[in-house]
Formats: sequence, C-alpha cells, structure tokens
Amino acid sequence: MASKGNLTLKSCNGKEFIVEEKVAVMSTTIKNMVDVDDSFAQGVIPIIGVDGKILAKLIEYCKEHAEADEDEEVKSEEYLKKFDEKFVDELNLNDLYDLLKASNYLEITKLLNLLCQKVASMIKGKKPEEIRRIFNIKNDFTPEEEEEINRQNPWAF
Amino acid sequence: MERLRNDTCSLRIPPSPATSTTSFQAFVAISESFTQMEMASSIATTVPSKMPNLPWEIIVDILSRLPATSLLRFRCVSKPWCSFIDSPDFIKIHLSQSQKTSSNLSLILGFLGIYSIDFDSLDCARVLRPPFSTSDVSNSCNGLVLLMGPNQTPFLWSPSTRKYKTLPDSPLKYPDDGDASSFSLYKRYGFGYVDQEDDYKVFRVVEFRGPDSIWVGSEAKIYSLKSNSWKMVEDYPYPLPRIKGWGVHVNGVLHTVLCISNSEKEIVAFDLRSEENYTVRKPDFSPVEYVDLSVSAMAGCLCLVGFRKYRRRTDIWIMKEYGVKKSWSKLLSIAALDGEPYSIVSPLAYSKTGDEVLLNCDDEKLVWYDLRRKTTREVNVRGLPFRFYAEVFIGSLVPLENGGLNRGVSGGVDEIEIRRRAGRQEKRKGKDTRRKRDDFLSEGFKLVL
Repeated sequence: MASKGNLTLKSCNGKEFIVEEKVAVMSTTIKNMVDVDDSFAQGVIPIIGVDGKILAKLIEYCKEHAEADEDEEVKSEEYLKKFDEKFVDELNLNDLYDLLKASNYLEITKLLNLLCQKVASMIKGKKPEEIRRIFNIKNDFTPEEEEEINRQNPWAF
Repeated sequence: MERLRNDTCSLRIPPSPATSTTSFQAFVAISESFTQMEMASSIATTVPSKMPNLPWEIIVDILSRLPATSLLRFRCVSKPWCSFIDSPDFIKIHLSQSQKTSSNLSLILGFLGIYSIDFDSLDCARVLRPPFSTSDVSNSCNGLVLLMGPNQTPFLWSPSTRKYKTLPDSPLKYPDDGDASSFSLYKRYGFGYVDQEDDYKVFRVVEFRGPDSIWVGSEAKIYSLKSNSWKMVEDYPYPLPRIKGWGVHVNGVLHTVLCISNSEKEIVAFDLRSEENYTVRKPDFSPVEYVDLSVSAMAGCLCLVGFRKYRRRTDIWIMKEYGVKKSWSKLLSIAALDGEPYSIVSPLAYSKTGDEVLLNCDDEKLVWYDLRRKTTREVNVRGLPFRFYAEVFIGSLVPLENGGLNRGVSGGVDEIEIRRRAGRQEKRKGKDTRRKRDDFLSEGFKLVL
C-alpha cells in the first residue's frame, strides 16, 4: 500500500471514488492540483464533465498502469499490452469518444495515445464521407474542387 | 501547435485545453470549457458512431497515426483538413510519430525491379512502378528514395505521394586535364537529410581509373534539394568502396568501409552538413579474426557487420550513441544458415517488440534473428525476387518541391492553389474529360520537373 494515502475523486454525476494517490496522479492534471494545493489531498477532487461510468474506466486503466510502473515483476510489459488491447477492444464508440476527451482533459498521456491509436486503426480504411460523418465535418469543397483534389492521388481511393 | 489550431478554426472545434496546464486556475478554466464540450457531446450520445467536436489536438494526434495513403484520401474531407494534411508542420509531426512508433514501415527492394513489402505483415512483395524504368535503389530516407533512372541519371521519388524529381546534370572535372576517353568512370551515390538545414542532400563520388585500372583520383559533389544544385567537395581523398556504396545514412552522415592507409579497413563517414569526412572508431576486436567488414543502418543507429574467417560466422555490432566508441555493443552473432558461407548480411530493423532483428542474408533471404533465444527463422514472403537489395522505407508525405519541409506558411499556399485550380476548372468547362485529364497530367509534370 502506498504510504502517501488516498484521494477522493468525484464525478460530475456525484459518484465518489477513493483511489490511491499513485493511481490518481497518473493524470498530470490531478498531479498538478495536488502538488499546487495540499487541501486537494485531504478533500474531494471534482472531476468536472466526466461521469461515473467513464471515471470508473479511467481509474481501472490507471490502476493497472500505476501498479505495473511500481512492480514490473507482477505486471510485465506483455501483461500490460494484453490489458491495453482488451481495454480498447471492449469500448463502444461513445465510450471511446468520452474517454478520449476525458483523458485529454485529465492529461493521462499513455491512455490518450492508446485511444488515438485505436481511432486511427478504426478510420484508416474509411472513405472521406464516412470521416465527415464520424467527426461531424462539413464538406466545404465544390464538387469540381473535390474532383480535382481526388485526381491528384487517385490510387489512394 | 497554436498556429495550427488557428489555421483550422473553421472546423468549429471548441478551443481545446492546453496540454501543458500547470495551475489550478487553468484547471478551472479547462473544466468550464470542457463542460461546454460535454454539453455538445451529450447530444452525440444519442447518435451512435459519431465523434463530433473532438479537441483539435486529438484530431491531429489521430491523423498523425494514419498511413500516408489514408491521409492522401482524407485531403478531400474539407478545405481545412486538406491544407492541414499538406502543411509542412503536419508532415513533420506525421513523420516523427511514424519514426517514434516504428509504424508505416515497409521494405523497398531493388536489383530485379522495384518491390515493396509491408513490414508489419511481411506477407508479399508488391511491384512498385517508379516514373522511370529502373531497378537500381541507392537508399531511402524519411519516405523519399534515391533511384538511378535511364543512363544512370539519379532521381528522388516518393512512393507514397508518387512525386519525383530528376536531379540536374552536373559536369565532371577530369583529373590532369584529361577527358572522358582517358578514364574509366565509376559512380556511387548516398542520400540523407540534414536536420539543421531541413534539407535533403545527395552525395556523389566519381572514381577515375586509368587504362591499367589504376585509381587516378575521385571527384565528390553534393546536391541540395533546397537549392536544386550541385556543389563540389574540395580535395576528396578516397577511391570508391569495393562492394557497397555510400548509402548508409545516420543523422545526416553517410558511411562506408574503406581501406584508407594500411591494409586495415576503416569506417569512413561523410557529414552532409559540414561536408567533411572522418573515420568512426570501431568496436574493440582483433582485426585478424575478420576477413571483411561492412556497415548498415538500423533504427537510426550505425551497425558494423564483421565476417569471420571462411565467412561461416558473422558478428554484428550496433553503436547506440552515435560517435561514442564506448556505446558499440555486440548485437548478435549468426552462424551460416545451411553451412554455406555468407557473402552479405545486413541488419534491417527490429521487430515491433524489439526481441527480434530482421536480416537480409546474402541478398536472397529475409531472416528473423531472435535476440533472446539466439535462433533464426526464415521469412516466407510471397513473390520475393530471388535476388534483391533491401532498404527500410518509412511512408511519409515529405514533398519534393522546394527542398525539404520549409514550404512557407502552412495552409495559405494550398488555399490559393485550390482557388487557382477552381478558376482553371471554370475555364475548362465544356471540354471533355479526357482533355481535362491531359491538362492535369501535363501540369503535374511541370510541377515535378
């Protein structure tokens, strides 16, 4: 057990999670808060904009990785790789989306990398119109302009 | 990154939290902006399979992990995406992400035609079609490949964007006021990138031999992609290497093995930036144990390959920190696969896990060497030519126009170009499609030549 004690994290819908500090500080944002203001270490840290379900997922991820960072014997690199694969494979697109934003906001770099990689593998074979739909992007090319752009690299389609 | 975000503000992505937030005040500000984003996304939760309003830096992160072909396809998603994907900043981000994660890698093979093999699967060799008929690959760097075209004219080619650039002619200066009839000539090239100048450079060494095949002298020149011109290297002192050329590139420096003074072989380096040559200190070993040495580059490090007596065993060292003699470490030692002596072994790349090294054995086989178990297994690649040179190639969008990546301000150029093209399109209205294609093609040629 970590000697530093535990932190309480509260989701936007009021769910509280008591986690070991070493787990919580996998988030650079939380780490900076605790470093700057000691009162956070005693009180409740509100995680605004992240609901209980997503916060639980974040904590699950951080717990595995914090433990692995501490003891490589128990949780090897191979174990973590498998954990990461399972973790992202089980996410639906909505959870993936919420986790992406939450891990960006909480600055959990390792998780953010993992999630971005997952989205990249999901979209790499998609058509431009599917990309526009997924990311909600308006096509601002005229049909002629689009045709011209596509003609510059027809083999990519 | 700030500028990139501004360039693309028309994507209507909310101002995203800075990734380097350190204070509580900033945290509160972030929380507020995040709540707005969250509100926007709560609508999305009712519409599955959508990810609207992702912070721009996340989009950039995702894009930087895509293969070059997907990026080329996604240029037509929107104008901001197009100018962003084309921007020098993004091309650099994408390249460095690929290098960091060893993704977008393939092998490029020369000798009997040009082939590529996807590195992750190593399943089949696909025929590549460069703009000129050739099978002579010099070497590759950051997604560009130096090839020898008809009449041994060197050209740079990007297999990802299919753009190419033929290097301009550069007249030879013959020794002792001689002319072409007095000498036999041999040419070798090496290609690399000078980070400090953001420029790609080609090194050319021409060796002059007299009628009795005696070495008379050499001429060395450097080509800069940025200036599109050749420059003489004064007093270049070496003949050409016997076997391999100058294509072993590490950190803007090219390498080869040469006998320079006594009979001992040395690693000779040519720095593309300072234009100086020097020798790289070898690892400690007894030179008499090795009948031959060669150099290779792997994972951005210089490797030395030593062939033991009778060539029945080959040792490979890797220089972990460039220029530091102490950082040489023995990577592996491999016995001849079927008792036959090796003529050539080159380390190509580490596996994703780092446990194995891919070797080109005798320019005939691709072999995985397991660093822990010290075992080998041959890779079965469909369509592998029976003889080849292999180079590791990284798929990138590095352009061939105006030198390296400094192409002026990102975004702007492309917007103007799009408008210009749209204007041309208007003028061409009414003409048949075939004609349009011809126009476009000829324009493409003007662009690259």
